[in-house]
Amino acid sequence: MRLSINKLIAITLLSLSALTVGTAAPTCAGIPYPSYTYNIWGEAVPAPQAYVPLRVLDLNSVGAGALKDPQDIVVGSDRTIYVLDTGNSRILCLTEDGSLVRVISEFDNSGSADRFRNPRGLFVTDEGEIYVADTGNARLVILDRHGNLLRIYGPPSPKTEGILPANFQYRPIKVVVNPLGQIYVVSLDAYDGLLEFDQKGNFQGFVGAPKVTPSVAEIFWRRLFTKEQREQSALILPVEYVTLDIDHEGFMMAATASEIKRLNPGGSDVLVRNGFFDPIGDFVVSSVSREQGIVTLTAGGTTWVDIAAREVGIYSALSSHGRVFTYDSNGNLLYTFGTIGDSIGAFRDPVAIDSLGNDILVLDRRSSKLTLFGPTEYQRAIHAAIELYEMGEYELSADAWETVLRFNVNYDQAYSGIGRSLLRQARYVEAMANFRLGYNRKDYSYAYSKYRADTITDHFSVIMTGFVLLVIATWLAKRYHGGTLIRRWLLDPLRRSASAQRATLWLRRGEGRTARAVREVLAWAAQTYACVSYALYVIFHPMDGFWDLKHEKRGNASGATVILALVVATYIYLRQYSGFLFTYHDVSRLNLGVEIMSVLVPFGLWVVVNWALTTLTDGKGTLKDVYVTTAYALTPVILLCLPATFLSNYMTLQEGTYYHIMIVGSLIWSIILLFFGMMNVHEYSGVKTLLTGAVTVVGIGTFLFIALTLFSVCGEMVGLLSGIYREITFRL
Amino acid sequence: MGVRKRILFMVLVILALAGRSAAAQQPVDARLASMDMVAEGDTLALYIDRTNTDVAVHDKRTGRTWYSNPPGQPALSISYWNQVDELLVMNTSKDSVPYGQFEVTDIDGGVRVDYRIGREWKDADYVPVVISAERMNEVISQLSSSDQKAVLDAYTEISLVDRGSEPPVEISGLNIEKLLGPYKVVSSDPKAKTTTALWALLRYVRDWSDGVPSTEAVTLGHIRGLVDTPTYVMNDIPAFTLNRVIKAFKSAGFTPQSVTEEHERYGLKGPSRSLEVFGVSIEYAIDGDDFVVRIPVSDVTYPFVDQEAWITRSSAAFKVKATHLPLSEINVLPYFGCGTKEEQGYAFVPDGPGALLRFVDRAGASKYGIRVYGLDMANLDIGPAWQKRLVDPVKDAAEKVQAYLPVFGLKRGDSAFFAIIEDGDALARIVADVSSSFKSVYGAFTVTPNGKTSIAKTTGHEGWGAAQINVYQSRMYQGDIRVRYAFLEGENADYVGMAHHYQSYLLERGALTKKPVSKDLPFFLQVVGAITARRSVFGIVRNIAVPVTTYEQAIQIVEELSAAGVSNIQLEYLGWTKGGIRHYYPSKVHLEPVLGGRAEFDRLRDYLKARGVGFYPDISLINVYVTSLFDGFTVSGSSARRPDRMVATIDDDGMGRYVLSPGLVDDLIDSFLPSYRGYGIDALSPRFLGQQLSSDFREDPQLLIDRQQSRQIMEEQLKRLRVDSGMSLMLSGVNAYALPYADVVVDMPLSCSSSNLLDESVPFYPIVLHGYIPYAGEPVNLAGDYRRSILQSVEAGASLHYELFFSSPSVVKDTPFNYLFGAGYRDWLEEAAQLYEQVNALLGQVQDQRIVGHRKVMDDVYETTYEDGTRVLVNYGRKDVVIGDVRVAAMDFAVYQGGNHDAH
Repeated sequence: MRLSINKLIAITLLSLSALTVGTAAPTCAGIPYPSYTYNIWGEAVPAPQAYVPLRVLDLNSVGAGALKDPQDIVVGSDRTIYVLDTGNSRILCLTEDGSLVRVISEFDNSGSADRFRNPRGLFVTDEGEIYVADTGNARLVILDRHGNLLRIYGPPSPKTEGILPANFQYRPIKVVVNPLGQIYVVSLDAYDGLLEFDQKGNFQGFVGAPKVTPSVAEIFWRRLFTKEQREQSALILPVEYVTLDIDHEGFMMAATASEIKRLNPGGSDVLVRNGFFDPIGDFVVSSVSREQGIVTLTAGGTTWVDIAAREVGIYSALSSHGRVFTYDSNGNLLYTFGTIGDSIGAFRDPVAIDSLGNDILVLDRRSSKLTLFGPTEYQRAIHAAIELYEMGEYELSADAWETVLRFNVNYDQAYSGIGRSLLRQARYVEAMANFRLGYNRKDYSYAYSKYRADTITDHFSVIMTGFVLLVIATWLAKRYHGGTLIRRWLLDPLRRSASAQRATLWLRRGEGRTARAVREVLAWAAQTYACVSYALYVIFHPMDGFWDLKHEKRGNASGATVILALVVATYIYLRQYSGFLFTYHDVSRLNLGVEIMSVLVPFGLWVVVNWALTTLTDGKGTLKDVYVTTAYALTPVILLCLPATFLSNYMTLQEGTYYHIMIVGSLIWSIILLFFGMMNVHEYSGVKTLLTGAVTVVGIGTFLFIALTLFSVCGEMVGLLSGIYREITFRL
Repeated sequence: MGVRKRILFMVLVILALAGRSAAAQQPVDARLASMDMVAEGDTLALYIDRTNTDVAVHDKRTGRTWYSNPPGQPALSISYWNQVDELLVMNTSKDSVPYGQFEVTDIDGGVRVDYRIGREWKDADYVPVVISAERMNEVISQLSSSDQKAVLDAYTEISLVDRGSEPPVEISGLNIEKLLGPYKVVSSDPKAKTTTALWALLRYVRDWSDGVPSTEAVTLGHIRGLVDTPTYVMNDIPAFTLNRVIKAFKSAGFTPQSVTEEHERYGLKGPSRSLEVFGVSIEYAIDGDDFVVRIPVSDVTYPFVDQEAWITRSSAAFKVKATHLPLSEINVLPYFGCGTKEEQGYAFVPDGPGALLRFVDRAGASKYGIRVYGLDMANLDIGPAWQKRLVDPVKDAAEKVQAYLPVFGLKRGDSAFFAIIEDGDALARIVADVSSSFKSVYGAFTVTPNGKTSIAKTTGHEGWGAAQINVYQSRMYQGDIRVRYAFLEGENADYVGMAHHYQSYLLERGALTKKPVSKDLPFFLQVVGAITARRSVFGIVRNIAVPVTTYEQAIQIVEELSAAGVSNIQLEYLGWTKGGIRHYYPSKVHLEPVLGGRAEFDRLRDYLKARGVGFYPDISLINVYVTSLFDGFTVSGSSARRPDRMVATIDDDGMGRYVLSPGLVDDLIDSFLPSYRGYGIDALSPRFLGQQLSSDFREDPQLLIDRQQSRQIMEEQLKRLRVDSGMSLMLSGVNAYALPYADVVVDMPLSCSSSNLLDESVPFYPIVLHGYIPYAGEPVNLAGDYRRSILQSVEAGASLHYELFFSSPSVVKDTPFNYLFGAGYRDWLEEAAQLYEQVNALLGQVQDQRIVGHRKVMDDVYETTYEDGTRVLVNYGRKDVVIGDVRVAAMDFAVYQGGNHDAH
């Protein structure tokens, strides 16, 4: 059904509707469901209640006898509530306070009385025309608001043979009419989409059919199929729609059991899915790796049964497990309420939802009860913020978001809303802080670019002066032998100082054990330093560099270890101090041990597996050689990732390409180096190096597989033994 | 219809109704007349029917009689676990009284009934398979002739006599030589089928003696008793004949003992007594104006089964040696004073502030039950995490369902009873059943709690599946169960009357005392000091304390609140010690450095003292968050254990905490108190103490602390803190046993749980406390629905309660403390002050008064009346209402003085 856009005043005022007739004023009772939203990690985060149950109307006691399996409700533009009593094939019209106006159980069809048969869908236009999907009679019945027959549209004519599938049975279960008068119908077991009829009831064709785009793998497999198999597999059916509504722009909000779609009149899905997650209700989080920034979801937690389009593109969808999820037009989850159960505010078998002004009505088919939910201040603030933004009242919208935050600081969207307003006011730093809290990277990046431009403009003179001074200093240093200057002004005075002199003397002359040890350490340090610096040569001259590394002893194990340590440090730095825009994992969850291992384990495996493999294939390299070579080959990682990480803090999303190029580039460079290194160390041909490299990777995979298998077997064993132990303790 | 006729008709109707009610009255009196009076007080008299153990209490003031149960219903029912973990139920009316398994003894001021619940002898145990002719004739002589014939037909008389030189009569399939030796089988009845009887005898020998695996193994030795002794051997008879025989033997006074005598005469065993028999005693007494029921649980006997049994599960079979059939629960007087369909009334249960279940028929509705003092924190049912996550993505409020007071009541028409559980309260569940034809409410007592453990790892594979078995507390509760019933009449017979009765009960026992109050309403302010968050420090991620309100900022909040007009602030400071909210084990109290140093803390303390602000620093003394080396806490040694002997933990905040064994709380307080006193504070808010109750299910019965013992320990500790150490205490909840020691109560539930069985929430608990202990609900700024929770506070006469902190409110985002989602003090200060001003002006002057009335005026509108006639109207509806000449705006409240607005 359609709703006129509430104006600001309408939102802030208390809605005065209430089902006063009926039972059970639950003002006393607790609210049986928790309120929550999902954060970016897929975790449910507590929130204040957005809707509280106000009244439960027992439809069996409104004066129309007992209902039987009611299937749909719809609220007219005059706020009349229409309940479709499917099992009794009739329509109940109620006022908004729950008193019965009339029951439409039969109508005059050109002189004879006609009845519905198991009607399952209902729609009321703004003009008050009632469209009934008369399922059992395979027709649409259109009545005026008093229940007088206007028109009857039968099934699509069989003339349209090309479009209708063979043995198609028309069983309309849901119907909507868009502002242009086009009628859309969901027919039971129709997998080709929605049936579209024009204003005269002529069948126009199917729209909104979910396209089946086979994946590459599917195409591949299908080629291998026999003809029969192909035909069999063609029977895999697209999903059927379960419900429909018309939103404020005249588009259709449609839902299949697992998916919500917004269909334009042409039938294309134009739903915006820019929330942290697609609008799929509850989901099972099958893996949250906050360390890696990966959230893997399994849908299937939620099955949609009905949907209510509301103001400014907000929609509330009812799931079979009794929960109502409300999303905004961008696909952000706004709030949840409702549950399965017997208490007030819970349902046993919810089938239909519609909004009554700002209130929500949910129909329970098993108990024939209608539950009215009323908004709280928190909900009003959320809706006001969204509507004001749509109306272009950005400042007022930000104020409303502030109110939302006052109730709930966990509300990510509110930060974005406030951030956008601050952005408009050119308060970039505050805007950035808010975008960051709301995990809004796109807007953060934009605010940051503005802020950076401003900073550069503001401090242009300082920056330029600094730059000029730097150039002059460099020139001076070159001109006057900077090294000499430093030595003369810094090192010599130091050396001349008494303690330094004494230490030097003691080192030179001292014959004691300590002195000797210190000398040895210094010598070792000097050599290691030389070896490490040699890495800078190797990376640019891999062929002779690696040769000398091994044969001229230009590198050694301790040098390699230092490089490896630096790689580990670089990785940790990269993971923890990359800019906000490039960090998709949760830095506060990083485990240092795991981080170190995630470098050392692959490194170690490579070294060991490669060595083991090459000893079998006449490789000349020893384990040490492989170790040293591999470590040296990783030098570019240090050289590129360090600056990339540092710079990522000063980049916008658009410049992120450079960041990624540097990181990927460092890896490619390292792999190339590794190739040359291995070639030299083992004295292999290029092809053989490539082959052993590939086999090494396979070897690593095999090793990991065996290790994991062993690990899980051990786990099972431990579980079994502990189970047996427990049994012995408690039962014998 | 003429006027006369109409009058006549009405008179007839009235007469008919009167006649009916008189008729309804009649059998009640007759029932009482058949009982013996066993005790009498000034107002009550106690009667018992010695034939069926029904008990009645006659109220001499009103002439009303309260029965322990309707005819044919039990006074006690029990549930117990059998060897295959099935919960079985028995009761006195079905499993004890019909078999005469009870004894009634008069005791001082009352009467005691000892029940043996569980049928000891089966019907078949009354019939011998062999019986000497001599004894048989005695039996026969007492029977009617038709019964005589039936019995004789069921038996065959045979005996063994020396066959002399006659050759033995061969019977195919029998080794006659071995079996009969020198004897032959004869019968005095020429038509008797002696061979058939011999066969039957062989089977009986096989079945009724040890060491005879088959009929072939029977030798002469086994049947020597028949030599020269005419003996009746039972024939193979159909069941209906057997029933007749059973009846006949019973009527002749034959008992299982006589059967044993007869069997033993022939070297056979007698029938064995059923093992599943539970000995439970109950004592009824009149104490003053009350009726008191006591069950000495230490006298309870339950069977030990020393036999091996196979436990079959869906996936595997286990051979186990069952040791006992643990008695799980005792339901005490489950039908006491129960109402009927025709009556108007309700059951009162202590859900939230109190709730009513009206007498209406709810087809198929289950019983309502609520555990007194909440779940056992050492026995939480922990299901698979993912399953919970799907059902309820955030921690459910349902876990908070807890009865804080061990009371219940029932109102029928214009009378009511109100019961207080005086002993065994920590084991109790309060059960109400208003859906069936008897409307009742009673206490059920879990005397042997159990948990579950899986005996093979849950691998997700079939086969070696996740078989779960019960594990039990290693001994039964050893104390008493005592329930005190009081009877209310007329105006007092409603929940307000019950609350007033409980109030005077507590006053008499010194659990409530009148204290001087300030002229302003208290304002409860919970301030959060430090929280913990995971932060990366130089590449190493760890939990660090994040200050959200330093000691100085706390001063600033109080200053600003005072400046805004809030007086009588009662400040609870949460998370002020090392570690913040999740603080270190408090055997020594250390300040949290990020909040400031000792000087700042002292300044805060002195400032609050000078301002007259109540200062209650919060410390958890029964749950443990973080420990350090050598602080006296070890996980395996100091934690309470679950029934499966694992360490008990609570994980409701996503981070987990240990449950300290109740036995060690004393030691902790020993070392905590001197350290805490060093900070110069004489008040404390001991987190969870007085709210949470846990057992320690250790294997060793000496170390085991059952729930009732734990409750005693908690009470002693509270007494120690309050009375011996002179600390003022701010308590959360709070459970009944903690009431005598509470100076202020916060987090009192102000609305009942969302159970669909409850019809109405009533402010029972507030009525009990108002005028004696200041109280508040949960912080309104964190309530699900802010406005509604304020209205609930006003309705219940509670003070306002806010939970705030100083820092930017977003600091809790993405931390485990994200439940503090609306606690930024700048956001709430102004509104809180305004609201306080409004509420204080209306309710400040009645805070030392009792609430004398509470009612629902109309849908969504409730009225609370105070002693001086001040009436508070609260409108939860969305429309303004006018009551009398008072207008109450939608979602608002109003106060007016005296008068009866119904007159307007």
